Amino acid sequence: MSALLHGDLGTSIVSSGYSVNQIIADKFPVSAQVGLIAIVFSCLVGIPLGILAAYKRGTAADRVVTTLSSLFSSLPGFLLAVVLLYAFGMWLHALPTSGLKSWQSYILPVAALSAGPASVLTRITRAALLDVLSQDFTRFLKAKGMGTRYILFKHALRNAAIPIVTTLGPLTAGILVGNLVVETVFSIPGLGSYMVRCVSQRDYPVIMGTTIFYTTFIVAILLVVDIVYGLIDPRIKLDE
Amino acid sequence: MAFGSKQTTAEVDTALVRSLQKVEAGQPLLQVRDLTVTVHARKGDYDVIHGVGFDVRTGEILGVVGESGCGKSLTMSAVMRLLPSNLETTGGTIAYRGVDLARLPERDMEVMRGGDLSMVFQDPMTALDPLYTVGSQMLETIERHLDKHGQEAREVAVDYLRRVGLSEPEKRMDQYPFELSGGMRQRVIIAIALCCNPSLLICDEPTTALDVTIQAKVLDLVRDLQRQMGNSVVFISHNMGVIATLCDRVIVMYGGRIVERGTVDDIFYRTTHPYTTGLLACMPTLEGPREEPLVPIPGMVPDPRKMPLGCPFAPRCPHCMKVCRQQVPPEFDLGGDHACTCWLCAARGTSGKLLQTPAVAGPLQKEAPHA
Repeated sequence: MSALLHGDLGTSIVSSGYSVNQIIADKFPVSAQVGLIAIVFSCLVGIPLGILAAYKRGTAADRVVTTLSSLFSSLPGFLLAVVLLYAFGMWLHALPTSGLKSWQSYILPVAALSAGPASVLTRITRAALLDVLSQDFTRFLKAKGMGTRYILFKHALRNAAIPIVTTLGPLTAGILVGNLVVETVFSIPGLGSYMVRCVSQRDYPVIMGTTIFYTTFIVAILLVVDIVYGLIDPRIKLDE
Repeated sequence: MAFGSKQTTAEVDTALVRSLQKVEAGQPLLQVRDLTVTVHARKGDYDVIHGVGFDVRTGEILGVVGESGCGKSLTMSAVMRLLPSNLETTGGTIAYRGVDLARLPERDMEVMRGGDLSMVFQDPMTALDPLYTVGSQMLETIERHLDKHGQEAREVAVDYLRRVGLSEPEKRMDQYPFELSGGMRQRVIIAIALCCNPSLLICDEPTTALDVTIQAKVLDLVRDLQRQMGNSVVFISHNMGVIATLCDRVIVMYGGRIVERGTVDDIFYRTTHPYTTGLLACMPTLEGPREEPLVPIPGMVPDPRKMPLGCPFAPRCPHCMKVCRQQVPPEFDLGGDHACTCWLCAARGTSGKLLQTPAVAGPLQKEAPHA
């Protein structure tokens, strides 16, 4: 216990001689790299699509985006990963199926990882924006002569940012630490796939160590989210 | 100020503003004719405003009274083109200084809104964006409509905050709406609405959400500023007392129509329409005997989907006649500014002449079996 408080997570029983700290230091950067690309990609796709759906609400574009986002957010990750792997890797032979040797090999895992978060972000962004746009101050902004786009980007988006950031936090933590299914399917040597292997080998110190690491990471991300709240909303202050 | 403010270039702005006609004092600034607003609903469209027509003259305060759901706010929202998306102005003209607002492209309408035409809403607690300072919300309006930026725009903003009676206007500029009380926020909103020197200010029950002591102060403020700036004000209220102290002329609305119009004296001392009489009867007074109970108008405002066939007020009217249930009354001219849309005027043999031919709109006849 005192070792834990000093940051020592113990040693692996299966791969003898390796400390848990060393394993995390080896594997986490691989997961984090893929994860970081995936989360940036999800934001770049999900948030603009959400804005589009809210701006064009009720139109065909809105319906297409909403349908696709519900489809992808309810699709299980392993199914999407396997389908992508089969379609682009085995069938079309367009993209590599395993490892992380070239930039092409990032495409499939990133796609599989970001589909879910991107569609969740789309839905949250759309819902939050529509909520803001139905509020009284939007009407007053219109009465002041402000254009729809100006209201959307300057006022509505910032007001909608709180729910978006709230969802984005845990999503980021989950993706960065490594998705066990996606990493296993695409044979990525990350923390997620390693943890699955340790579970089957009953390597308890590693399981416990990675769990503690994962938990700490989520707590840290949530702290960042709380700090970001303060930047978005002047009513939330960190001091006092 | 990245978006929006650059959407409309200064040239577009001035071209439209220059095309606005100068209106002499006492002449109509806004002339609304046959305004019809339709609700698009799944079960079929129906009208909520039935051919409303009225004038707003320069430098006057026009009161609009009626119960909730009579179409007061909707009429003025239609003038501002701020109707909710399922409502549409389907008929009539809104001539404002020679420009028909009903047919103005949306981009030009944005130039008019907040610039020459302004509106203040009911609830000051929710009318400001909570995430931006009072100053930034004032400056965006000033930079949008007046060709002023930076320090110059800031001076205008501070000046108007002072004019609406806020203490320490410089400090208020950097405060957020949540740091201000309801009355202060309503002052800020009035300052925003007035800072581009509009010719017409529409106040949609600006005091309803405030407590009584603040109400009186806001009313005084509206009147004082109107006198200083000489603009026209449309004041929507369901409080007859407020209307009596504040307004020059009054229109009384019921069921999406104007039932009586006239000067404040016409409405309060020469009351003609039974609905206006009803509104006055349920107003408490300080002088009268205390034992006398207030007399409410029986019944409810009709559902716009199930409008009665004839006069909309007929089912609640103590003087209802046979003709009232069959045909919508025309407007009878009672001399001067006074006019009343009631068959009683004809029955009493009023010397007035018919102003409008009876308009029996389609939807009314369609709904007839329900009535």
